[in-house]
Amino acid sequence: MNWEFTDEQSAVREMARDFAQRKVLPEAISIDRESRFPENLVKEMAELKLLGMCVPEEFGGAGMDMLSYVLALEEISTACASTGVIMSVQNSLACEPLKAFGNPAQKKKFLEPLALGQKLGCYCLTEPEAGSDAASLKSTAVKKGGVYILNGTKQFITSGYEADLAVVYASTDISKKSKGISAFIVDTKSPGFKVAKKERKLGIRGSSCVQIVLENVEVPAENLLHVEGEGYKVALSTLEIGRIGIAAQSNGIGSAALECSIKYAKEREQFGRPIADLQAIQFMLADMSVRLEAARLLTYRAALVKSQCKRAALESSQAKLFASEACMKNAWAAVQIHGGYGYVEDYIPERLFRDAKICEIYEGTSEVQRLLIAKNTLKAEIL
Amino acid sequence: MNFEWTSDDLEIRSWAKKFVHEVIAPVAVKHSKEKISKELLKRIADEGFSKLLIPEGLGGLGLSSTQFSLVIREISKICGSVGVTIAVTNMIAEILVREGNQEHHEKFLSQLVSGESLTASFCLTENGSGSDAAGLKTFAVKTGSGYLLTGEKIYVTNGAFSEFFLVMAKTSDVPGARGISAFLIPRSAKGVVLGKEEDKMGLTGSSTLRMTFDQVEVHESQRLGPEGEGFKIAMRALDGGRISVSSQALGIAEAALQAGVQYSKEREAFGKPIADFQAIQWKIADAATQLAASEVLIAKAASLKDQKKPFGLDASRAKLFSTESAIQVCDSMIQVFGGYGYIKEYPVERYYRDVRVTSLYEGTSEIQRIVIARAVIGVQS
Repeated sequence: MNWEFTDEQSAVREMARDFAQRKVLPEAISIDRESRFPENLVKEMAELKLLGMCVPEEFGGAGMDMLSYVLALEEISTACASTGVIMSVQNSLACEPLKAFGNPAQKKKFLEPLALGQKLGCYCLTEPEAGSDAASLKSTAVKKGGVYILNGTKQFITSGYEADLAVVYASTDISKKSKGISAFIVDTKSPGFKVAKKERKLGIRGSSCVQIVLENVEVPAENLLHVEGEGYKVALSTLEIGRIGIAAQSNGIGSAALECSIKYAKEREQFGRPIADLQAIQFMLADMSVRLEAARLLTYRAALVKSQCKRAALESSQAKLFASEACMKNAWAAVQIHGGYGYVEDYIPERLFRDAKICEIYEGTSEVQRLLIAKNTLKAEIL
Repeated sequence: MNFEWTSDDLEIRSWAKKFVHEVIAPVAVKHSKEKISKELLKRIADEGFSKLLIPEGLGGLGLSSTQFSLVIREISKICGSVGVTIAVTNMIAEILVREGNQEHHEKFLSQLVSGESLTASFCLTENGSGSDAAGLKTFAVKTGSGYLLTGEKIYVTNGAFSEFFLVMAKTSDVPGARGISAFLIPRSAKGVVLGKEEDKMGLTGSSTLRMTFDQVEVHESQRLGPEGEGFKIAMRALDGGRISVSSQALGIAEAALQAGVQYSKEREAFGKPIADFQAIQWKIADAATQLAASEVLIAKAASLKDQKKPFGLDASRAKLFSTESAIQVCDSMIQVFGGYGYIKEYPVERYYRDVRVTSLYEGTSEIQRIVIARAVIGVQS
């Protein structure tokens, strides 16, 4: 066992922290209040190679390991969870499936502009009636000559308003359920690809979340990602990385909650002394710190396992479940420690509390993670 | 960064596992009713479990903290009573290695190497001083060649088995920690009185004694470290002890989860195994996740200790989290067993009783939170 980061990992974290604190943090409040997509920050992240971190350099990426990505994503999310999720979707959900399953031509054509940050990607799996039960999706893909024709509705698509490219899951044979699903790389400017609705959300307001309607969208057959009928495998493998990303985002929010609480507890005086002197507050801070540390270690472990092996189903689910719930608890504690000030938007916890909640929902709810973990632990088909 | 055990680590674990399954498992259930037998303690000592942390140069096995943690975990999966007995003995051995001089090694440490003393014990807590350990009252009055030590100690783990004791006593009227010194006292010394064996909720196979020291003559050479340094010695030992209690808690909880998994697949209700119900699956998933988090926290603390880096904060985090999680896991596995979980015929009843103490000894959860809060707030509070 060894708990040291490599020089490269430390350097990446330092760089991301510097950028996050200097550039991202000052904008976090306005991004939230104006529900503003931080286009300028996304551009700067592209220049810093933060949008294709684990993509090989030959395809425009930074060629780094997954732990470096996790460390950088936590730093960005500490400053602004909205910017964090944009980074997470681009890296985990857009670049990774293309890196893992794309053929050389697809990598050159689609992965490279994504990794360079010239194009933004989104991930279209969820549908209005297929959330946790993703395999029950109803979007269809019908092959006609050299194209697939896609129809359906996709729900809760992060970055969907701004995206240039979408990884879309649709079924070529509904009767085969999960084995009928295929993945496609779709240009969002294709005729029939429509943003039908932009959601107004509790938190992470700087990131767009849209409903997309696919109406006879023609996708060239060469844009089929991986093999026809093997799309669900692409989805599951991608979600593992997505979950590691959300765990890192959770740790960023959880760490921001702890930091602002420590600072406030030392400044705020009641009963003639800083509230940090009171055990009621000390114990909340201690618990926050322990949860954050455990969440980080589980996340790092999942990232390392995913780097070394192809699959990290158990590790990524445990990291995501634990980190997202730890993050919510830490955000709750931050509001509580700030008292009335925690409830008003002049103070950070109010935003953290709203932002934290989504971590327990997207990329597989806590319930889905528990199902997967239980299944793995029981080593039986119980789903 | 890597989270992998070395092949040496895994070899040590297999060695421990084999011994524990062959020798301890057959009698583990008995330890709910009776103390660990001298014969078993002898076999444990002969196999080397009393000298795990003693360097090979001094006749021990020279395990790393990481390996020690794995061994305690394996033992505790099968028997918490044996787990704590071995853990405490090794903690004393480690103190002697670190703080002792050659004479201490020859007179006392050697007894653990040879098996002459089957265990060792630590006398810190008193009737009036638990978490506030520095408030102890046992006093060692200076005489010509040494001290006369008088006082009462409680919660002396291994008290009935040990041939010598590490005793904390005040050597000056300076209030608090600075007046405390550490002494090594043989069981045979005049004035050492073994008192009542505590009737405990769990870990019933282990010995927990009250002890009285009545004007016990202690030679200066029996003092461990300089005068007034005893409390520091105790605190340094407790940091390591916290890793070992964490490992113990993790081991017991792993056994509980394993029992719960097995039972939930066998037990049928409403026409199917209860493992098919989400109500049960959730308990299994939460338990598995809490244990995974405990494992990485413990592994980090142990590995920092092995690398001779500061690990106090990490040990406290590991202890707080893994003991409280283990208690929850054991409780929740009783729920999986339903009424059978409450019956002594099934193993989870014992796990629940055994694990409960882990958030109390070696620094309560409250003490861990104070330690952690001080570190994160960055001031003495």
